[in-house]
Amino acid sequence: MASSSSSSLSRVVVKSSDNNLFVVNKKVASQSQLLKQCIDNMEEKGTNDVILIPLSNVTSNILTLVLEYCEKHADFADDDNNNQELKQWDHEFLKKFDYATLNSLTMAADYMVTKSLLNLCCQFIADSIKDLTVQQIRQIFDIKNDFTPQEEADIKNENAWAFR
Amino acid sequence: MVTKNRVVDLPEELMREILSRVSVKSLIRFKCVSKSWCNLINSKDFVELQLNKSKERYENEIGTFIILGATSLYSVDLNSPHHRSQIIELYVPKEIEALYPSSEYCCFALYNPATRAFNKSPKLENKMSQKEYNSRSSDFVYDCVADDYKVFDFVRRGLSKLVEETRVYSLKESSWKAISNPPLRRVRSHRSVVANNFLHFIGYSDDSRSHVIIRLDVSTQRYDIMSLPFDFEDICGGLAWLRGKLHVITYTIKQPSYGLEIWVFEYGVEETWT
Repeated sequence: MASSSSSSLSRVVVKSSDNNLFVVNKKVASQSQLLKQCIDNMEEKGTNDVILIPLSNVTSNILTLVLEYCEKHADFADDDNNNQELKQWDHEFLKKFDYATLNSLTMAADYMVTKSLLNLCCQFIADSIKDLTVQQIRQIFDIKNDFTPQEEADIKNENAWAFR
Repeated sequence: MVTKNRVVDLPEELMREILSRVSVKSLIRFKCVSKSWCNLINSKDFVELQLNKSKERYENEIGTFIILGATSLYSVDLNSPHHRSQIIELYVPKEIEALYPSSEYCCFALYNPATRAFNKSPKLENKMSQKEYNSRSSDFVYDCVADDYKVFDFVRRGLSKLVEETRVYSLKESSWKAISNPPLRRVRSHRSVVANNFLHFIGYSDDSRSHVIIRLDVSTQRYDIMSLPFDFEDICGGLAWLRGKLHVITYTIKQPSYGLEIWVFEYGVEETWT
Protein backbone atom coordinates (compact mmCIF):
# COMPACT_ATOMS: atom_id res chain seq x y z
CA MET A 1 0.00 0.00 0.00
CA ALA A 2 1.36 3.41 -0.90
CA SER A 3 2.31 5.53 2.07
CA SER A 4 0.21 8.64 2.42
CA SER A 5 1.60 12.12 2.87
CA SER A 6 0.93 13.85 6.18
CA SER A 7 -1.93 15.99 4.85
CA SER A 8 -3.96 13.10 3.43
CA LEU A 9 -6.27 10.80 5.30
CA SER A 10 -5.59 7.09 5.40
CA ARG A 11 -8.92 5.96 6.76
CA VAL A 12 -12.44 7.19 7.48
CA VAL A 13 -15.19 6.10 9.81
CA VAL A 14 -18.58 5.39 8.26
CA LYS A 15 -21.73 5.27 10.36
CA SER A 16 -24.74 3.15 9.35
CA SER A 17 -28.36 4.20 9.85
CA ASP A 18 -28.54 1.93 12.95
CA ASN A 19 -25.52 3.70 14.42
CA ASN A 20 -22.80 1.10 13.89
CA LEU A 21 -19.34 2.39 13.07
CA PHE A 22 -17.10 0.95 10.34
CA VAL A 23 -13.47 1.89 9.92
CA VAL A 24 -12.66 1.91 6.22
CA ASN A 25 -9.33 2.53 4.58
CA LYS A 26 -9.18 5.21 1.94
CA LYS A 27 -8.57 2.99 -1.07
CA VAL A 28 -11.64 0.91 -0.23
CA ALA A 29 -13.80 3.96 0.53
CA SER A 30 -12.80 5.51 -2.81
CA GLN A 31 -14.83 2.85 -4.61
CA SER A 32 -17.84 4.90 -3.50
CA GLN A 33 -17.97 8.30 -5.16
CA LEU A 34 -19.96 9.64 -2.20
CA LEU A 35 -17.26 8.66 0.32
CA LYS A 36 -14.49 9.75 -2.05
CA GLN A 37 -16.09 13.18 -2.38
CA CYS A 38 -16.23 13.56 1.42
CA ILE A 39 -12.56 12.54 1.72
CA ASP A 40 -11.49 14.91 -1.06
CA ASN A 41 -13.37 17.80 0.56
CA MET A 42 -11.72 17.18 3.91
CA GLU A 43 -8.27 16.88 2.37
CA GLU A 44 -8.75 20.19 0.60
CA LYS A 45 -9.42 21.79 3.96
CA GLY A 46 -6.18 20.22 5.21
CA THR A 47 -7.77 18.25 8.05
CA ASN A 48 -5.72 15.47 9.59
CA ASP A 49 -8.46 14.23 11.91
CA VAL A 50 -10.24 11.02 11.14
CA ILE A 51 -13.61 12.00 9.69
CA LEU A 52 -16.98 10.45 10.41
CA ILE A 53 -19.37 10.01 7.51
CA PRO A 54 -22.95 9.22 8.51
CA LEU A 55 -25.00 7.23 5.97
CA SER A 56 -28.57 7.71 7.11
CA ASN A 57 -30.05 5.45 4.38
CA VAL A 58 -27.94 2.32 4.79
CA THR A 59 -28.33 -0.31 7.52
CA SER A 60 -25.28 -2.11 8.91
CA ASN A 61 -26.32 -5.38 7.23
CA ILE A 62 -26.27 -3.79 3.83
CA LEU A 63 -23.28 -1.54 4.53
CA THR A 64 -21.24 -4.64 5.42
CA LEU A 65 -22.04 -6.05 1.98
CA VAL A 66 -21.24 -2.82 0.14
CA LEU A 67 -17.91 -2.59 1.94
CA GLU A 68 -17.14 -6.25 1.18
CA TYR A 69 -17.68 -5.45 -2.49
CA CYS A 70 -15.59 -2.26 -2.30
CA GLU A 71 -12.74 -4.12 -0.58
CA LYS A 72 -12.62 -6.77 -3.28
CA HIS A 73 -12.76 -4.20 -6.05
CA ALA A 74 -10.12 -2.00 -4.43
CA ASP A 75 -7.74 -4.98 -4.66
CA PHE A 76 -8.37 -5.10 -8.38
CA ALA A 77 -8.46 -1.32 -8.87
CA ASP A 78 -5.37 -1.31 -11.07
CA ASP A 79 -6.52 -4.18 -13.29
CA ASP A 80 -8.72 -3.67 -16.28
CA ASN A 81 -12.43 -4.14 -15.83
CA ASN A 82 -12.55 -7.40 -17.70
CA ASN A 83 -10.75 -9.43 -15.09
CA GLN A 84 -12.42 -12.84 -15.23
CA GLU A 85 -11.64 -13.70 -11.63
CA LEU A 86 -13.34 -10.53 -10.46
CA LYS A 87 -16.37 -11.16 -12.67
CA GLN A 88 -16.68 -14.64 -11.24
CA TRP A 89 -16.42 -13.24 -7.72
CA ASP A 90 -19.13 -10.62 -8.48
CA HIS A 91 -21.49 -13.32 -9.64
CA GLU A 92 -20.87 -15.59 -6.65
CA PHE A 93 -21.24 -12.57 -4.36
CA LEU A 94 -24.74 -11.65 -5.60
CA LYS A 95 -25.94 -15.24 -6.00
CA LYS A 96 -26.21 -15.63 -2.23
CA PHE A 97 -28.87 -12.98 -1.74
CA ASP A 98 -32.65 -12.96 -1.87
CA TYR A 99 -34.53 -10.24 -3.74
CA ALA A 100 -35.11 -8.16 -0.59
CA THR A 101 -31.37 -7.97 0.00
CA LEU A 102 -30.63 -7.35 -3.67
CA ASN A 103 -33.09 -4.46 -3.74
CA SER A 104 -31.57 -2.89 -0.64
CA LEU A 105 -28.08 -3.38 -2.01
CA THR A 106 -29.10 -1.72 -5.28
CA MET A 107 -30.46 1.27 -3.40
CA ALA A 108 -27.33 1.52 -1.24
CA ALA A 109 -25.11 1.34 -4.33
CA ASP A 110 -27.15 4.14 -5.87
CA TYR A 111 -27.03 6.27 -2.72
CA MET A 112 -23.30 5.72 -2.18
CA VAL A 113 -22.62 6.28 -5.91
CA THR A 114 -20.83 2.99 -6.45
CA LYS A 115 -21.57 2.77 -10.11
CA SER A 116 -20.07 -0.62 -10.87
CA LEU A 117 -22.04 -2.24 -8.04
CA LEU A 118 -25.22 -0.50 -9.17
CA ASN A 119 -24.75 -1.80 -12.73
CA LEU A 120 -23.94 -5.23 -11.43
CA CYS A 121 -27.08 -5.39 -9.24
CA CYS A 122 -29.37 -4.07 -11.97
CA GLN A 123 -28.04 -6.56 -14.51
CA PHE A 124 -28.21 -9.41 -12.02
CA ILE A 125 -31.82 -8.66 -11.08
CA ALA A 126 -32.77 -8.17 -14.73
CA ASP A 127 -31.25 -11.52 -15.70
CA SER A 128 -32.97 -13.33 -12.87
CA ILE A 129 -36.46 -11.93 -13.47
CA LYS A 130 -36.56 -12.06 -17.26
CA ASP A 131 -38.16 -15.48 -17.49
CA LEU A 132 -40.54 -15.12 -14.55
CA THR A 133 -44.30 -14.97 -14.84
CA VAL A 134 -46.30 -11.84 -14.09
CA GLN A 135 -47.54 -13.44 -10.87
CA GLN A 136 -43.99 -14.18 -9.68
CA ILE A 137 -42.92 -10.62 -10.45
CA ARG A 138 -45.75 -9.23 -8.34
CA GLN A 139 -44.74 -11.45 -5.44
CA ILE A 140 -41.06 -10.59 -5.61
CA PHE A 141 -41.51 -6.84 -5.78
CA ASP A 142 -44.63 -6.83 -3.61
CA ILE A 143 -46.69 -5.14 -6.31
CA LYS A 144 -50.45 -4.94 -6.13
CA ASN A 145 -52.29 -5.80 -9.32
CA ASP A 146 -54.42 -2.72 -10.01
CA PHE A 147 -55.85 -3.91 -13.31
CA THR A 148 -59.41 -5.14 -13.57
CA PRO A 149 -59.56 -8.76 -14.82
CA GLN A 150 -60.86 -7.42 -18.13
CA GLU A 151 -57.99 -4.93 -18.57
CA GLU A 152 -55.44 -7.62 -17.78
CA ALA A 153 -57.03 -10.04 -20.24
CA ASP A 154 -56.98 -7.35 -22.94
CA ILE A 155 -53.25 -6.76 -22.59
CA LYS A 156 -52.65 -10.50 -22.62
CA ASN A 157 -54.73 -11.00 -25.75
CA GLU A 158 -53.05 -8.16 -27.60
CA ASN A 159 -49.64 -9.63 -26.91
CA ALA A 160 -50.40 -13.32 -26.68
CA TRP A 161 -47.08 -14.29 -28.32
CA ALA A 162 -45.08 -12.87 -25.39
CA PHE A 163 -46.86 -15.17 -22.92
CA ARG A 164 -46.13 -18.40 -24.75
CA MET B 1 -28.55 -14.37 4.92
CA VAL B 2 -31.98 -13.59 6.28
CA THR B 3 -34.54 -14.76 3.78
CA LYS B 4 -37.67 -13.18 5.19
CA ASN B 5 -36.58 -9.59 4.87
CA ARG B 6 -39.33 -7.17 4.02
CA VAL B 7 -39.02 -6.21 0.39
CA VAL B 8 -38.19 -2.54 0.10
CA ASP B 9 -39.90 -0.71 -2.71
CA LEU B 10 -37.35 0.26 -5.28
CA PRO B 11 -37.72 3.84 -6.46
CA GLU B 12 -39.03 4.09 -10.01
CA GLU B 13 -35.69 5.37 -11.24
CA LEU B 14 -33.94 2.15 -10.18
CA MET B 15 -36.76 -0.05 -11.43
CA ARG B 16 -36.26 1.66 -14.81
CA GLU B 17 -32.57 0.81 -14.71
CA ILE B 18 -33.34 -2.83 -14.02
CA LEU B 19 -36.15 -3.19 -16.55
CA SER B 20 -34.15 -1.46 -19.27
CA ARG B 21 -31.83 -4.49 -19.16
CA VAL B 22 -34.66 -6.95 -19.85
CA SER B 23 -35.60 -8.17 -23.34
CA VAL B 24 -38.53 -6.71 -25.25
CA LYS B 25 -40.46 -9.97 -25.08
CA SER B 26 -40.27 -10.06 -21.27
CA LEU B 27 -41.18 -6.38 -21.05
CA ILE B 28 -44.31 -6.91 -23.08
CA ARG B 29 -45.34 -9.63 -20.65
CA PHE B 30 -44.50 -7.39 -17.68
CA LYS B 31 -46.96 -4.75 -18.87
CA CYS B 32 -49.51 -6.92 -17.09
CA VAL B 33 -47.84 -6.52 -13.70
CA SER B 34 -49.49 -3.24 -12.76
CA LYS B 35 -50.63 0.06 -14.24
CA SER B 36 -47.47 1.84 -13.20
CA TRP B 37 -45.27 -0.84 -14.79
CA CYS B 38 -47.37 -0.67 -17.93
CA ASN B 39 -47.03 3.12 -18.13
CA LEU B 40 -43.31 2.92 -17.46
CA ILE B 41 -42.72 0.29 -20.14
CA ASN B 42 -44.81 2.21 -22.68
CA SER B 43 -43.17 5.58 -22.02
CA LYS B 44 -40.99 7.06 -24.74
CA ASP B 45 -38.06 7.76 -22.41
CA PHE B 46 -38.01 4.17 -21.27
CA VAL B 47 -38.16 2.81 -24.81
CA GLU B 48 -35.11 4.93 -25.68
CA LEU B 49 -33.24 3.84 -22.56
CA GLN B 50 -33.94 0.19 -23.29
CA LEU B 51 -32.85 0.60 -26.90
CA ASN B 52 -29.56 2.20 -25.90
CA LYS B 53 -28.89 -0.48 -23.31
CA SER B 54 -29.42 -3.28 -25.80
CA LYS B 55 -27.28 -1.50 -28.38
CA GLU B 56 -24.46 -1.40 -25.82
CA ARG B 57 -24.91 -5.03 -25.00
CA TYR B 58 -25.07 -6.30 -28.56
CA GLU B 59 -22.47 -3.91 -29.93
CA ASN B 60 -20.10 -6.68 -30.93
CA GLU B 61 -22.69 -9.07 -32.19
CA ILE B 62 -23.75 -9.45 -35.75
CA GLY B 63 -27.48 -9.16 -35.34
CA THR B 64 -30.57 -10.71 -36.68
CA PHE B 65 -31.73 -11.10 -40.24
CA ILE B 66 -35.35 -10.73 -41.11
CA ILE B 67 -36.30 -12.74 -44.15
CA LEU B 68 -39.45 -12.09 -46.05
CA GLY B 69 -40.91 -15.34 -47.26
CA ALA B 70 -43.81 -15.80 -49.60
CA THR B 71 -46.40 -15.58 -46.88
CA SER B 72 -44.52 -14.98 -43.67
CA LEU B 73 -41.53 -13.40 -42.03
CA TYR B 74 -38.65 -15.32 -40.54
CA SER B 75 -35.93 -14.13 -38.25
CA VAL B 76 -32.46 -15.64 -38.19
CA ASP B 77 -30.19 -15.01 -35.24
CA LEU B 78 -26.73 -14.67 -36.76
CA ASN B 79 -25.03 -14.93 -33.38
CA SER B 80 -26.22 -18.44 -32.84
CA PRO B 81 -23.70 -21.08 -33.86
CA HIS B 82 -26.45 -23.15 -35.44
CA HIS B 83 -28.24 -20.72 -37.71
CA ARG B 84 -30.64 -23.28 -38.92
CA SER B 85 -32.09 -24.05 -35.52
CA GLN B 86 -32.55 -20.36 -34.82
CA ILE B 87 -34.87 -19.59 -37.69
CA ILE B 88 -38.05 -18.45 -36.08
CA GLU B 89 -41.26 -17.81 -37.89
CA LEU B 90 -42.62 -14.46 -36.80
CA TYR B 91 -46.24 -13.95 -36.16
CA VAL B 92 -47.77 -11.76 -38.83
CA PRO B 93 -51.07 -10.11 -38.03
CA LYS B 94 -54.01 -11.18 -40.14
CA GLU B 95 -54.51 -7.58 -41.21
CA ILE B 96 -51.15 -7.57 -42.95
CA GLU B 97 -51.80 -10.80 -44.76
CA ALA B 98 -54.93 -9.23 -46.15
CA LEU B 99 -53.02 -6.35 -47.71
CA TYR B 100 -52.97 -7.35 -51.33
CA PRO B 101 -52.19 -4.50 -53.66
CA SER B 102 -54.90 -3.53 -56.07
CA SER B 103 -54.85 -1.33 -59.14
CA GLU B 104 -56.73 1.45 -57.37
CA TYR B 105 -54.66 1.84 -54.30
CA CYS B 106 -51.80 0.45 -52.35
CA CYS B 107 -51.12 0.30 -48.68
CA PHE B 108 -47.97 0.01 -46.61
CA ALA B 109 -47.58 -1.84 -43.37
CA LEU B 110 -44.75 -1.03 -41.00
CA TYR B 111 -43.94 -3.95 -38.79
CA ASN B 112 -41.66 -4.00 -35.76
CA PRO B 113 -40.40 -7.56 -35.33
CA ALA B 114 -39.19 -6.92 -31.77
CA THR B 115 -42.49 -5.75 -30.34
CA ARG B 116 -44.57 -7.30 -33.14
CA ALA B 117 -46.47 -4.09 -33.32
CA PHE B 118 -47.58 -3.03 -36.75
CA ASN B 119 -48.93 0.09 -38.33
CA LYS B 120 -50.94 0.22 -41.49
CA SER B 121 -50.78 3.32 -43.64
CA PRO B 122 -53.97 4.80 -45.04
CA LYS B 123 -54.73 3.76 -48.59
CA LEU B 124 -52.63 5.47 -51.19
CA GLU B 125 -54.75 6.12 -54.26
CA ASN B 126 -53.16 5.68 -57.65
CA LYS B 127 -53.88 8.93 -59.44
CA MET B 128 -52.37 7.91 -62.73
CA SER B 129 -54.41 6.02 -65.23
CA GLN B 130 -54.99 2.52 -64.03
CA LYS B 131 -54.78 1.05 -67.49
CA GLU B 132 -51.19 2.07 -67.89
CA TYR B 133 -48.46 0.05 -66.41
CA ASN B 134 -46.93 1.96 -63.55
CA SER B 135 -43.85 1.06 -61.62
CA ARG B 136 -43.16 2.18 -58.12
CA SER B 137 -40.26 2.14 -55.75
CA SER B 138 -40.47 2.89 -52.08
CA ASP B 139 -37.98 3.75 -49.41
CA PHE B 140 -38.43 3.33 -45.69
CA VAL B 141 -36.37 5.86 -43.74
CA TYR B 142 -35.91 7.18 -40.25
CA ASP B 143 -35.97 10.98 -40.06
CA CYS B 144 -33.68 11.79 -37.14
CA VAL B 145 -34.62 15.48 -37.15
CA ALA B 146 -38.33 14.88 -36.69
CA ASP B 147 -37.81 11.56 -34.87
CA ASP B 148 -40.27 10.02 -37.28
CA TYR B 149 -40.38 7.05 -39.63
CA LYS B 150 -41.28 7.81 -43.22
CA VAL B 151 -42.04 5.94 -46.39
CA PHE B 152 -41.23 7.69 -49.66
CA ASP B 153 -43.17 6.36 -52.59
CA PHE B 154 -42.07 7.15 -56.16
CA VAL B 155 -44.29 6.23 -59.09
CA ARG B 156 -43.17 6.23 -62.71
CA ARG B 157 -45.43 6.00 -65.68
CA GLY B 158 -44.80 2.95 -67.78
CA LEU B 159 -41.17 2.36 -68.51
CA SER B 160 -40.28 6.05 -68.22
CA LYS B 161 -37.46 6.88 -65.90
CA LEU B 162 -39.03 10.12 -64.81
CA VAL B 163 -40.84 9.98 -61.50
CA GLU B 164 -44.24 11.57 -61.94
CA GLU B 165 -45.72 11.15 -58.55
CA THR B 166 -43.97 11.33 -55.21
CA ARG B 167 -45.61 10.99 -51.84
CA VAL B 168 -44.42 10.62 -48.31
CA TYR B 169 -46.05 8.80 -45.42
CA SER B 170 -45.25 9.92 -41.91
CA LEU B 171 -45.77 7.40 -39.12
CA LYS B 172 -46.29 10.20 -36.60
CA GLU B 173 -48.93 11.98 -38.63
CA SER B 174 -50.29 8.74 -40.02
CA SER B 175 -51.02 10.36 -43.36
CA TRP B 176 -49.74 10.68 -46.91
CA LYS B 177 -48.60 13.93 -48.41
CA ALA B 178 -47.66 14.73 -52.00
CA ILE B 179 -44.23 16.27 -52.41
CA SER B 180 -42.35 17.50 -55.42
CA ASN B 181 -40.86 14.98 -57.81
CA PRO B 182 -37.15 14.38 -58.18
CA PRO B 183 -35.71 17.04 -60.50
CA LEU B 184 -33.94 14.51 -62.70
CA ARG B 185 -34.58 11.04 -64.00
CA ARG B 186 -33.65 8.23 -61.71
CA VAL B 187 -31.61 5.19 -62.67
CA ARG B 188 -33.98 2.37 -62.06
CA SER B 189 -31.73 -0.51 -61.29
CA HIS B 190 -29.97 0.92 -58.25
CA ARG B 191 -31.00 0.81 -54.68
CA SER B 192 -31.16 4.02 -52.72
CA VAL B 193 -29.10 4.64 -49.62
CA VAL B 194 -30.07 6.57 -46.51
CA ALA B 195 -27.29 8.49 -44.82
CA ASN B 196 -26.92 11.67 -42.82
CA ASN B 197 -30.69 12.16 -42.99
CA PHE B 198 -30.58 12.18 -46.79
CA LEU B 199 -31.93 9.64 -49.21
CA HIS B 200 -29.42 9.19 -52.03
CA PHE B 201 -30.10 7.70 -55.40
CA ILE B 202 -28.36 7.75 -58.72
CA GLY B 203 -29.86 9.83 -61.49
CA TYR B 204 -29.05 11.04 -64.96
CA SER B 205 -27.75 14.53 -65.51
CA ASP B 206 -29.72 17.03 -67.63
CA ASP B 207 -28.10 16.01 -70.87
CA SER B 208 -28.41 12.30 -70.01
CA ARG B 209 -24.74 11.86 -70.75
CA SER B 210 -23.49 11.41 -67.24
CA HIS B 211 -24.64 10.47 -63.78
CA VAL B 212 -25.27 12.42 -60.62
CA ILE B 213 -26.49 11.60 -57.16
CA ILE B 214 -29.89 13.01 -56.32
CA ARG B 215 -30.23 13.72 -52.64
CA LEU B 216 -33.53 14.09 -50.87
CA ASP B 217 -33.45 15.64 -47.41
CA VAL B 218 -35.90 13.37 -45.59
CA SER B 219 -36.75 16.07 -43.11
CA THR B 220 -37.38 19.10 -45.36
CA GLN B 221 -38.21 16.96 -48.42
CA ARG B 222 -36.01 19.12 -50.65
CA TYR B 223 -33.81 17.76 -53.37
CA ASP B 224 -30.33 18.67 -54.34
CA ILE B 225 -27.79 17.28 -56.75
CA MET B 226 -24.33 16.02 -55.96
CA SER B 227 -22.13 15.82 -58.97
CA LEU B 228 -19.79 12.91 -59.27
CA PRO B 229 -16.07 13.40 -59.71
CA PHE B 230 -15.95 11.14 -62.71
CA ASP B 231 -17.85 10.63 -65.85
CA PHE B 232 -18.70 7.45 -67.67
CA GLU B 233 -21.54 5.79 -69.39
CA ASP B 234 -22.96 3.52 -66.79
CA ILE B 235 -22.70 2.93 -63.10
CA CYS B 236 -22.90 -0.79 -62.59
CA GLY B 237 -22.16 -1.06 -58.91
CA GLY B 238 -24.39 1.39 -57.17
CA LEU B 239 -24.33 3.09 -53.79
CA ALA B 240 -23.39 1.80 -50.40
CA TRP B 241 -23.11 3.23 -46.92
CA LEU B 242 -20.16 1.72 -45.06
CA ARG B 243 -18.37 2.84 -41.93
CA GLY B 244 -19.98 6.26 -41.95
CA LYS B 245 -19.04 7.01 -45.54
CA LEU B 246 -20.96 7.05 -48.78
CA HIS B 247 -19.44 4.80 -51.43
CA VAL B 248 -20.09 4.81 -55.15
CA ILE B 249 -18.98 1.56 -56.64
CA THR B 250 -18.44 1.39 -60.35
CA TYR B 251 -16.92 -1.09 -62.68
CA THR B 252 -16.62 -1.39 -66.36
CA ILE B 253 -15.77 -4.33 -68.51
CA LYS B 254 -14.98 -2.23 -71.58
CA GLN B 255 -11.38 -1.88 -72.67
CA PRO B 256 -9.16 -0.07 -71.98
CA SER B 257 -10.55 1.13 -68.66
CA TYR B 258 -11.43 -2.37 -67.49
CA GLY B 259 -11.60 -2.45 -63.69
CA LEU B 260 -13.38 -1.55 -60.49
CA GLU B 261 -13.49 1.89 -58.96
CA ILE B 262 -14.77 2.91 -55.58
CA TRP B 263 -15.30 6.55 -54.78
CA VAL B 264 -15.82 7.51 -51.16
CA PHE B 265 -17.61 10.55 -49.85
CA GLU B 266 -17.32 11.49 -46.22
CA TYR B 267 -19.93 13.71 -44.65
CA GLY B 268 -18.89 16.39 -42.23
CA VAL B 269 -15.15 16.34 -42.74
CA GLU B 270 -14.31 18.09 -45.98
CA GLU B 271 -17.23 16.86 -47.99
CA THR B 272 -15.08 15.90 -50.91
CA TRP B 273 -14.71 12.79 -52.94
CA THR B 274 -11.64 10.67 -52.59
